[in-house]
Amino acid sequence: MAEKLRVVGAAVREKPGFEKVTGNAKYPNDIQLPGMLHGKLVRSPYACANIVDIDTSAAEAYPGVKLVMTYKNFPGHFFSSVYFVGMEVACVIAEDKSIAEKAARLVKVEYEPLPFVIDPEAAMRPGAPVAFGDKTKIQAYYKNQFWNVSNQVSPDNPNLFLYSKYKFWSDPDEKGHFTKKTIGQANGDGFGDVEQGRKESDILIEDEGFKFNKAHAPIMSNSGCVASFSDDILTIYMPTQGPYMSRFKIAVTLRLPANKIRILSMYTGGAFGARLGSGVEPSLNGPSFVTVASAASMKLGKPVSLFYSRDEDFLFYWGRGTFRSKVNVGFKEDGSMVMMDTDVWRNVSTGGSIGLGTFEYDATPTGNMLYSHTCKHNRLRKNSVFTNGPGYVGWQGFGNPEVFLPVEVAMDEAAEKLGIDPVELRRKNHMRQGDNYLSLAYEFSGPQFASRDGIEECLNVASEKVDWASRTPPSQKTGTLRHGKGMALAIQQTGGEGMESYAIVRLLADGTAILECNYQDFGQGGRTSQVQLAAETLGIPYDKVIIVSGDSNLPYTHIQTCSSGTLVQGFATHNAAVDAKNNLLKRATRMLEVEDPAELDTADGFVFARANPAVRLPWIAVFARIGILGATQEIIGLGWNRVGAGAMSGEQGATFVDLDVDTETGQLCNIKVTHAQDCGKAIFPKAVEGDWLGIHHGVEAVVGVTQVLDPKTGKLLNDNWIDYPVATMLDSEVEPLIVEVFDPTHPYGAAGIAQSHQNGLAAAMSNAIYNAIGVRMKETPFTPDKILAALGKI
Amino acid sequence: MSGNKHKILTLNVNGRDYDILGVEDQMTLADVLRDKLGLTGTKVACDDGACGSCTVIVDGKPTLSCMTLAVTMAGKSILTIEGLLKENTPHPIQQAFIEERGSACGYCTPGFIMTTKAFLDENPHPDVDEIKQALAGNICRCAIYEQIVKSVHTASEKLQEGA
Repeated sequence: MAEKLRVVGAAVREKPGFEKVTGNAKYPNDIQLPGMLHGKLVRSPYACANIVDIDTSAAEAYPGVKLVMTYKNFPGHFFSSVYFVGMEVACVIAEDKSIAEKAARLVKVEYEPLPFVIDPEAAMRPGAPVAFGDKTKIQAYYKNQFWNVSNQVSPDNPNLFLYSKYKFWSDPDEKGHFTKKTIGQANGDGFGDVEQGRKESDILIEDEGFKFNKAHAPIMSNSGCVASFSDDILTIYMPTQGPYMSRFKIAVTLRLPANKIRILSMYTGGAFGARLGSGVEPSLNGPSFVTVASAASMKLGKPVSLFYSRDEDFLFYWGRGTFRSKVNVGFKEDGSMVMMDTDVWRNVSTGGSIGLGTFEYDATPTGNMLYSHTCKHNRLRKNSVFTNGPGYVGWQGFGNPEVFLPVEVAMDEAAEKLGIDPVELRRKNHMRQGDNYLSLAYEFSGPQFASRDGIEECLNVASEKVDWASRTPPSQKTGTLRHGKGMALAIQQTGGEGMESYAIVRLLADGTAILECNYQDFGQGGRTSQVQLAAETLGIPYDKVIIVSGDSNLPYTHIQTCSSGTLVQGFATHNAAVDAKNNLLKRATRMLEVEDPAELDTADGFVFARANPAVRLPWIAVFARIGILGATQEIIGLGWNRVGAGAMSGEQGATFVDLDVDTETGQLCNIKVTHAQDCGKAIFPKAVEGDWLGIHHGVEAVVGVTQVLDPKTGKLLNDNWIDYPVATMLDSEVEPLIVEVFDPTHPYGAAGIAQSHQNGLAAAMSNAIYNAIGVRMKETPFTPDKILAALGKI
Repeated sequence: MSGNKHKILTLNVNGRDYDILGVEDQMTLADVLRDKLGLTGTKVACDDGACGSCTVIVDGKPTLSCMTLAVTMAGKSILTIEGLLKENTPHPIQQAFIEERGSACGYCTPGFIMTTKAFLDENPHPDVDEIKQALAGNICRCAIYEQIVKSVHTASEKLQEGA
């Protein structure tokens, strides 16, 4: 590592900045190809039904229609049963969008409606209507899950999906570190003995009853793709976080060789987790736009564009399902945590993108990680519930904000009962370096533990910034507008064991370099930071390096999820730059008359002898010697990185909220969120801060917006941006605070950053409301009616 | 299908007259800019007039192109994001958005920049509250609002320097 960083951490000019501000950046729905046809999907008006028949004759006869796809002629793409209002039953492909839309209305579908269930609480009751009638389809769905989960459908109620056995679990070893145990060894749902923990506790706090339902709403750019099949090669322009995952699934579904599928995805629009599967997952909740468009293009020999409209996007980006969790936390009188017992129920409706994958992560960072320093008895039981709604997808925090709410509210309650300041209670119990770091859903080949201590500094920085010491108890608040301060801790597992990436760095004779890797940048600034890492390692200026990405024919990069870009890809990029640099130095040994390349180094486009930096050659001189007839060759480096067991970085932060509660109207106002997070090292600081400004997005979900399904029909009632009002710049104020505690698992000390800022938000808001008016809000969104009800005013 | 299939609609976009064939009555300005003229820098996000992504400037006023019928635009002067770039040099507002990173995923950025252009033309020296009020109708789902406000502020300074 360079002694003094020149590019990493600098205020560089973002790589795709020019393309974005000029409108030159081409998103998938900006792609227009010669002869391109357009598709329009026909959707079910019923929440659960069998299709008796489909008559496509009128649609097929409409001028300009090229193809009508249904379960009859495209089995495997469309089904003869539907499970939610809006599930796709047919697709019309036509010469233009207008024709496709008109013809889609001519498709006649005869349904046999079936009983359905919308309310997850009702679905859990014995005798409730079954969300999916055909169990064999459910089993097929499980088998197709990308994630390897050990799970089962409840024998008593087919709507219940029990996650009762963990594949891996851990118990502390003699050093207090947590080590791997197999299913046989672990008791299946945690470590220690929560009943013993209950006995050892001096006080017990219980929290429950929390619902949470938010939409990605539904990102800026539309879902969909352009598929173009030509000369046996299928090229797909689509928004995705993981082109390789998409390619593999398309290959399986369409029975095409994987190397004949090329996915181009340079600009995708903000993803927030919703572009994980991007419509290519085999699932019960409808066909995939990618495979439908691809099948149509393969049949017709023309490019096919199939994009969702806004209301359709709401169905695809159902967001996070309703969620209930219950937590019991036990403490000693001195404030040290003894036990945590958590039960969670998630409404996964019809599965959705990556289906139950998020389910694996729920709640894992609380007892297992965040408080594993003191908590010796931990149990976590999870259940999911099927209902007849659109499927859900991952969002920042990946299943955790919902569980942090009861946990961090319980911490606030405990602090009050114990007479300890909430910040001090966290200081006593939070995770330290070496404590358990459980990363479920990835491999778990050995002990995993926290790599650094970042939480303490986050607490210091944020509590000073918000003047935490000035906080007064709710009993001292008077007047109509009452101010409250609240806080919560937030951590997140990132870049789990087994994730891996490659990169290629090509050095050119003029002292420039090309980085090839398929880092998917959907707004997090990752292309820029990858270039910074390569430039820093090569010792050349930022402007001398370009990145090529957004193409599945480039070297493999792990799907951009789990805040892994800087961590997993970044290390591979660094390794590729090191390899390229070593190859350059090897070539220069004879010219600079040294035996060992280690005696040489490079900076600013020169290779020089370490012993005597004045003896140096520009890169061009090194290349000229190996070129023939004036042609300059390239020097290439390959980099690879794989996350192993052991020290794991991860996100560590603290979220503080200041707000005013209007006790007459129940409105929350003057919301200010101060979020301090340890990112290890901020490679591209403006992008780090930008990521955390996403808190606005979270505030929207906590204070006012939820999706509403009509219980009588199962129809989504607010499928537009007026009835689902998204956050504007007037709604709240967010101040991100960067904390940098070098992480030893990364060459430049960086850690993941992109999720935990959402984890503690709801809890910090709830705690701030309590601090203002003395009532506990446990069910989001914290709307005025709920606040007035809690105050006993309505 | 409207009866306009063979009619020609003439639109003045970024200082140039375009004769456009096959503009149906129900087509919005956004549809025509994107699908007929290939000017895809203008984005459609909510398609409901609720997010500002499709903002273009019509006769000096910020206008939601997804809510505007194309056939009503004849004889008007339309400026889109593509019209701001002069000989490969970004407009000072565009430069400010690059420098301050007022763009994350970038999809809403053209709309923000066009709203900013119309706003700064009217109010060259705004304070933070005025900026927020003017841009509150534009939605950024990445929600980098503080960085967007900073970009607009920097843009106003750049324009002052250039003036």
